[in-house]
Amino acid sequence: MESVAWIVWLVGALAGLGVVSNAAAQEEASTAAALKQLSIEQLMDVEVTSVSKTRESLMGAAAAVATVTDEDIRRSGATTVPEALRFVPGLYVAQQTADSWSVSSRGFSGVNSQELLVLSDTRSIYTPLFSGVFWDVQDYLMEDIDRIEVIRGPGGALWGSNAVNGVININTKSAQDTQGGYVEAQTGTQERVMAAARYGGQIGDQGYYRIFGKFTDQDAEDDPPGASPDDWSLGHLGFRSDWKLSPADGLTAQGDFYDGKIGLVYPSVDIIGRPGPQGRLQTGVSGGNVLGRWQHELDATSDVQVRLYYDRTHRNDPSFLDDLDTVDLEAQHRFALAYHQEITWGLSYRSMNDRNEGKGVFNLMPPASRDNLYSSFFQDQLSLGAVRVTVGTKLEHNDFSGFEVQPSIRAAWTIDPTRTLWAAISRAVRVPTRLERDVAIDVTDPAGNPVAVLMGNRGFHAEELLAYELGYRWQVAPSVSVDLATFHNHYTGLASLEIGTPFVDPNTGQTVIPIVNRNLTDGRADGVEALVTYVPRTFWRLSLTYSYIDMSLEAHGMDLNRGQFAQGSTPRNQVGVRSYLDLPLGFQLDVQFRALSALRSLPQIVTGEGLSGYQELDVRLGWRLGRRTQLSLDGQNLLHNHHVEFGAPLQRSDIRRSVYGKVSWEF
Amino acid sequence: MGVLRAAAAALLLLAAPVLAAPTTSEVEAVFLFNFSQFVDWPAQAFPQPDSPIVIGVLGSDPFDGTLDDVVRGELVKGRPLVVRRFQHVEQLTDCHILFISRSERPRLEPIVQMLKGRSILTVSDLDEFASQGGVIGFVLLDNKIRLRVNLQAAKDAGLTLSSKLLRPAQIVSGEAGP
Repeated sequence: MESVAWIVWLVGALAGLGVVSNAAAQEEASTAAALKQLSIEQLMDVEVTSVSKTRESLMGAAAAVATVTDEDIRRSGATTVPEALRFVPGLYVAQQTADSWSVSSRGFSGVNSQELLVLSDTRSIYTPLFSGVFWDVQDYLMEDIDRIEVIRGPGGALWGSNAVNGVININTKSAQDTQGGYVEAQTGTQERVMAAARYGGQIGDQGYYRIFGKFTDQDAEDDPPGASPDDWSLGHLGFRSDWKLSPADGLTAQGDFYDGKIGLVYPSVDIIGRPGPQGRLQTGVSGGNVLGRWQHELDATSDVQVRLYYDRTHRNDPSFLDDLDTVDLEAQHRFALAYHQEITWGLSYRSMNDRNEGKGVFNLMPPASRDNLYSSFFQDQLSLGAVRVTVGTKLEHNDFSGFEVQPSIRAAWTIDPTRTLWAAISRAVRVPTRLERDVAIDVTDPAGNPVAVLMGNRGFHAEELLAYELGYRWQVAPSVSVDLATFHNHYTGLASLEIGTPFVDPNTGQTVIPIVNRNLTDGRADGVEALVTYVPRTFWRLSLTYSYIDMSLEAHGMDLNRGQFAQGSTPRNQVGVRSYLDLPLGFQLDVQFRALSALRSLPQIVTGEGLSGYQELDVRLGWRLGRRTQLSLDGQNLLHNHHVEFGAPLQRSDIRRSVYGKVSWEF
Repeated sequence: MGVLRAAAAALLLLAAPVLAAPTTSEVEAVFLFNFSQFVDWPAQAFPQPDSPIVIGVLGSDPFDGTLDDVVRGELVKGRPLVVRRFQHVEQLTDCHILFISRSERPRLEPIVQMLKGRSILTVSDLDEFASQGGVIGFVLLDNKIRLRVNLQAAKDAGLTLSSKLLRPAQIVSGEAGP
């Protein structure tokens, strides 16, 4: 047993379920009247929210909230969602290979980081297998993303067990805002080709639609590429239609279908001493989803929303074959009560039908599992003049850990229109995944005696977080704003791999040494996040982001998979500087610089050793020729020929300097 | 819970009223109302001395009744304000301020072309509206609405814009029309 020389590498990602951002109380009738008292200058200083449902302004929110706008996405030159998130304070985005990313909030980085909830137009991007996001299939026509809202910390979502350290809401534009034709094409040193076309039209007087298609063929990152390069290609078709059925009723129907081939530099599951897949490693991916959402306004202060979706994913990985069907139905209701209260509550049901067939070493028992999730939430937001207090709880029942209660209390004090102080205390859980419950992998020679088996543990319960947050937002001057957030997170019962009690398998006569997940690691994380925006001129915008995290995990067990090393897997310091400059004649010059301190330890590396920090620079030159045509030349990671961001040596690629050119045309 | 309730009660006593953030369309509606006060139309733009100032919305209406609420009962320079909705630019009759909805994006050029020479203050939150021949463009920057004004387009339409409107706005050159 002393030679427990095995490692399980599981490449997954994170996810969750859930929906809908906070809705806040609003003095509806008097808003317009109050705004009419303002001068033009003052009106230009009023912060607005683009979503009528999300009444809460970022300025007044009792949470660490940041928004990536469509302008930010365009000017960052991001071609994927993780890239667009690099400059959000509190997030750590790292590219491991051409197609795999670690996106984490407030620690626990890893390509299978599990403490973050990601929603795409209210649909959770979830695999209950690892409770992770496969970022390689989260493809978007970036032009059609309206905004990405990022809420760090728990309780930002009304729904969802995986919103432990944050929620990312990706929202696409309404079909009404994407009318007409649009084509774009892009090629460069990394992108062999990326081409997309979209057409938006009208159905009757009150209905709008768009259809789009996109194809990406991306080169490998490693130079020269190894035996198994990480080049990838993906085709994607999608549609969205939005209808105003009546002044009080809105209906959205949308869907996506994709198919692609994703290159892997290393098997996604590998056990040392047991043969893994050989040669060129590729994952075949395909899937689709359809979603319908109906919103009905009952009166000025109350509305209901019903949403249903079906999502199917297929992944033919060299190590396993996974098919997942998800159906999710939810309803929520918001209404006002006496004494400036706003009540929001909702019910939802999700069914996940997962079939996983191991190839070689990877194995889940049973291979197929249908798991149900019943959830509800209730929240009361009281507006006590300048102070708004939100008290609420999520209550859910899942087939992995039973009932889970996640209460929170948040308060925001609007000191004056330019300053807000907020604080929150919340409890959140990360529920077990199929991997932790159903895994059954022989980690030593299956014919040997004794045999060590990585086994599911039905006694493994949810990981718990108690989070304390404090934040301050200050509009220092019309051109300067500051957003600060701090947190203290206290984790208990984090997963750790432990040796169970050996037993004799009556069928084979072998002595089985079980290796199981138990909740034997505790920890804490403290951090500070800052965003400073300065607009010196209407044509020039500067922003500075800074993130600090100090994390320490304490393993009370053997922690065989060295999960404790996750305490060093997020850079302690991250700094980002962006400059967006509008030049005459339709030119734009955009620069973004990032500096990250070292990763002090990585559980992905046997010895736990870390990676040194790095600095990188992106520069974009855009040129708008009239209303219809835009050209851009984008240089990414310009400071070095190549650099590494994340992962163990065999599993990561050197990320290359790259340059691409893009042309887009509207008609 | 008992402690929380006591804390909430204490806060209630200290409280003073505050407004939550308005939506983009609420602020845009108030801007449209303000424009009626800071723009002078040529006399022939109104049939009668007490003819209303017409605020038109072309295409899909994003205001959900807010615009009607904002202008209800208001008098600007002795004129009432009315809101009219148009599905097609050809239907445009009397109109002084025209908000061009995002739904009209594919038809923007013919719309600007057809309105050329008419005394209409065109406003839109479509990209690059002011530099493409519109008079006032709303631009969302850091969750705030900024104004971009095309002075040449205003002049061509025979409109005089008050300095109160121009001072905080960004002036864009841009050709007066496509």
